[in-house]
Amino acid sequence: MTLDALLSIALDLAFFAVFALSLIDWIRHRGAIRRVVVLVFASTAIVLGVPVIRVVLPGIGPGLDALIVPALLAQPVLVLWLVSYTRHVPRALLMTAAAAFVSLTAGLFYLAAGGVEPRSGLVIALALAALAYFALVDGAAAIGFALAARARAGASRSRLLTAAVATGLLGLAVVFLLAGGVLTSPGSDAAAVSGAVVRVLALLAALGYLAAFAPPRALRRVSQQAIVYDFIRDLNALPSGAPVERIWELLAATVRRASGAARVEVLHASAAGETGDPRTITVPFSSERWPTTRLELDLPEHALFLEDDLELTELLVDRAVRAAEREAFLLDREGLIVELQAASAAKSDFLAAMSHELRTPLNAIIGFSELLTEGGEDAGDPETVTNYAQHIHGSGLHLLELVNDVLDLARVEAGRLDLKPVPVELDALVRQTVAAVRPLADGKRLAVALQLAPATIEADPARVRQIILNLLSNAIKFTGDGGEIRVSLEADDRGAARLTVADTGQGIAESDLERIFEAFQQAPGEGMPTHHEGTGLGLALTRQLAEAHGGSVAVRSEVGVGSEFTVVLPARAGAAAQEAGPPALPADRPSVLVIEDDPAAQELLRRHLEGAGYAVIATASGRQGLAWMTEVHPDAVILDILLPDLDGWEILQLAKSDAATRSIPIMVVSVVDDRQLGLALGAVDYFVKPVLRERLLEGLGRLTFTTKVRTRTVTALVIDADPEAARRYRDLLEPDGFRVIDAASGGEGLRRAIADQPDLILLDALLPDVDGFELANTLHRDPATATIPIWVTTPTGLEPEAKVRLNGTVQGVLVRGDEGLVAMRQWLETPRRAAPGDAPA
Amino acid sequence: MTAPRPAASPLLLAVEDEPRNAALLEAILGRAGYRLHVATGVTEAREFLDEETPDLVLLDRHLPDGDGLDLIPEIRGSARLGGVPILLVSASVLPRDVQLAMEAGADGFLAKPVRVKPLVEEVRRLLDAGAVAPKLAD
Repeated sequence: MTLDALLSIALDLAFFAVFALSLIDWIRHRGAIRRVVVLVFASTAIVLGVPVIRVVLPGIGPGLDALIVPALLAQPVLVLWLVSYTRHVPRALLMTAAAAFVSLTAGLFYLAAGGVEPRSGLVIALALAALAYFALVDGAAAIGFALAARARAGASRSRLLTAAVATGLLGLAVVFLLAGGVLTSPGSDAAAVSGAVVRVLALLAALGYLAAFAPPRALRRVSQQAIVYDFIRDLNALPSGAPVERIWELLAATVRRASGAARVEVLHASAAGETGDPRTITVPFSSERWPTTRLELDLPEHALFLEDDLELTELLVDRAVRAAEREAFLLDREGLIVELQAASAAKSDFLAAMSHELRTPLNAIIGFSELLTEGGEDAGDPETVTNYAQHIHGSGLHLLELVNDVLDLARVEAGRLDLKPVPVELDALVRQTVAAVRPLADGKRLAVALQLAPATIEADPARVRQIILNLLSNAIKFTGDGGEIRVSLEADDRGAARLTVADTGQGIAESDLERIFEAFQQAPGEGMPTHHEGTGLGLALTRQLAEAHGGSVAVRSEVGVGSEFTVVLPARAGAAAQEAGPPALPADRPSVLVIEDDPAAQELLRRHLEGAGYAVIATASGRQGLAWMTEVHPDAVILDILLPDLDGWEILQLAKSDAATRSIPIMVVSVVDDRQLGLALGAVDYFVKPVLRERLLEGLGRLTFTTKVRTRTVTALVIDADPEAARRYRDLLEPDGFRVIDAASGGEGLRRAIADQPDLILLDALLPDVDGFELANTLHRDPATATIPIWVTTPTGLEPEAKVRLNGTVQGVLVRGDEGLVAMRQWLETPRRAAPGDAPA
Repeated sequence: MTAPRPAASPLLLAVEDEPRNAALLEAILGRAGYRLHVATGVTEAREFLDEETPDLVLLDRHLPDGDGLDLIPEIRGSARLGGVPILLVSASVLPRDVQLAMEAGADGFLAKPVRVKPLVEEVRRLLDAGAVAPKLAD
């Protein structure tokens, strides 16, 4: 046996080994692609195998020979078929290849049967045709694989590139085979060489296909490891404290890149289920922290390597979840630290305040008792003794009051205040309480005016008396000699009572209006100008008691003029909470309604928000929150999910299904981690407690014109004769989701403004038909368009005279160029009081 | 105890809004032989100081119309009143409160609840020290 023969046997054996591998792989993991891969291998195996069988089993030789030709010719068509699994292959190309296959097979069989002259023109023509067929179809297939590779990334890409190379090699092998058959005479050296070349090429091609379509485990590991390695590196590159959303984004991006999936999404909802699409693959996160979260991917039409993708995706998800758990843990800890620090600071403040408040009555008690026991020239005087004893007694009572207030407040804050509601004639109760404090008022020569309408509510009389007493003693305390205190009581048509205590005292600075309701806040502390000479807990307790009844306390004040406290108590304590009227909101600040039943969490939110300049109203009741949304139309709502009456999901649904409240952006802040459900129900944002102050404010800051785009279509009307202008605004606004419509003249603009009711008008000052300023005035006066904000654009800026003419009718002026656009951008991002088109701004 | 003759006895201004604590100061310092005028707030104190020159000012901090400490620079800045000793009598007794009072220019600090003897002694000490100061200033 010659070396050549040995070599060819070795090469054949190697090829058959590869064929066997692919066959085993197909048997193990059935699939269309693997089947076609096996067929491709099979065609080559037949070509290589038949001569061997002929030698081993001479008896069945001729019958098998007939297989060689079709098997050989089928190979390019099969490869093209394989390509069609990875990308779109024009039907015409497939058809043409199939037709060529059929006609070439027929031609060759005809040659074999007809005994045509070996060197005749027909033989040469057929050989050349076959050559061209192989070259073209295999070439097209190789290009097809290469194109498919280009559309993918990661492992898919390299595997398809390998397939492209393998196809090229296979085509080359067949071309060599044919060329060898035609050009060399059997048995010559040249024939042996070409035979070896063919075998080497075929083997290389086979290895390539194997690597591409049925890679052994070790090979798959290598490519997966590279992706996982990159992913971990990217994860580590994320800044510490990055939100878990960033990790999910990175995960989705990596999976998208690795799998070539059309849609890769991290979903959180428990509700939104399977799409039923067989190409959708779901990988659950299996994490206690995100029990319903999962990764979904829609594989593309020409999905490849499904199990590999799945395995890799599971690996990546596992990595991502672990990283996210670590981040979330750190974030929790950070939030906890902030809360603990705040709590610790509050405790210190409380203790300092307590110390101060206790020392004040103790001063009189110890001082006077010392004078009594020490004895002195006046100590024996009975009048003096009585006088000192009265001071001691009074201070002792004050001390007791302080202790009781502290206990009450603690009780309310712990939710253990037991109200005992009975029908209370509020007007009588007010009268009695006023009578009780009248000596104090008389001492300061204060006039007390009563204007009491009969009102009977169901409430705890002791607690209501406490509320009235607190407000009255405050008013007396803060009103200078000779001032006036007005007490009025009225019942509204829903039976709720509204008690107002107004004084002509020194008033409270606006910056202190909310702080006075915090425990001790009005008492000591550096630079606090006001001193509440009660227990320092009065107003905090008053508010808590009113809210425990389902009511509220509001204050209006002007420094130097006086203060007015209004308590609203519902007809029935607690049960009718939603019937209480909402507290008034200042018009100059954006307002936030907080619906949260945990008093501590509510207080924390209130502090965060008020510190950032928002006006806050808060309620523990879902029903009341919903009612207030309709009544006061806040600029934003912060919503807890777990509430005593209506839960947050119901509130979201009800608010979003009511035209009156639909446009109010709602942010969920809850321990319930179901962001996807929240967003699906219409929340604009979702925070899981504990939420950091910065996160919350950042979220609120996003509730702007631009945010509205996410909840509904916001339309901007461009009135400009220059078509370029509309294009420019489209470029600016459409990426954010705005809809931009345009009008080329003033007349058309007016018509469209009335007909389309845009949310925003961008008006050019120079119009062909009317004066832009006139149009702005017309739009502003017309009730149909009066509330639509207008921005005027001018080429150069405005003359002072023009500014006067525009005064009050437009939101702003855009000078052509970037500066103006920046101003408008900012305006679009600024939270505003009323949603455009919902109510007058 | 040697009570000074009423006419010659030093005049003290107590700025104190809580009536019982004002009464206590009157009782203690009156028994010690001083004349005491009570102002219940910053404004009242200013009005009094515009007219009179007390020998010592007893100052509380948390007053209905302001912080008692605000009076210190006003007193110190006045040529007539500048040398009058100022004694803080406050229930805000944290170290930082005391420090704040002393930095503002108070001559002494007594924590509430005050004891009879230390109060009388501190007042006497400051009056003795202050009795020299105006003369030096003259």
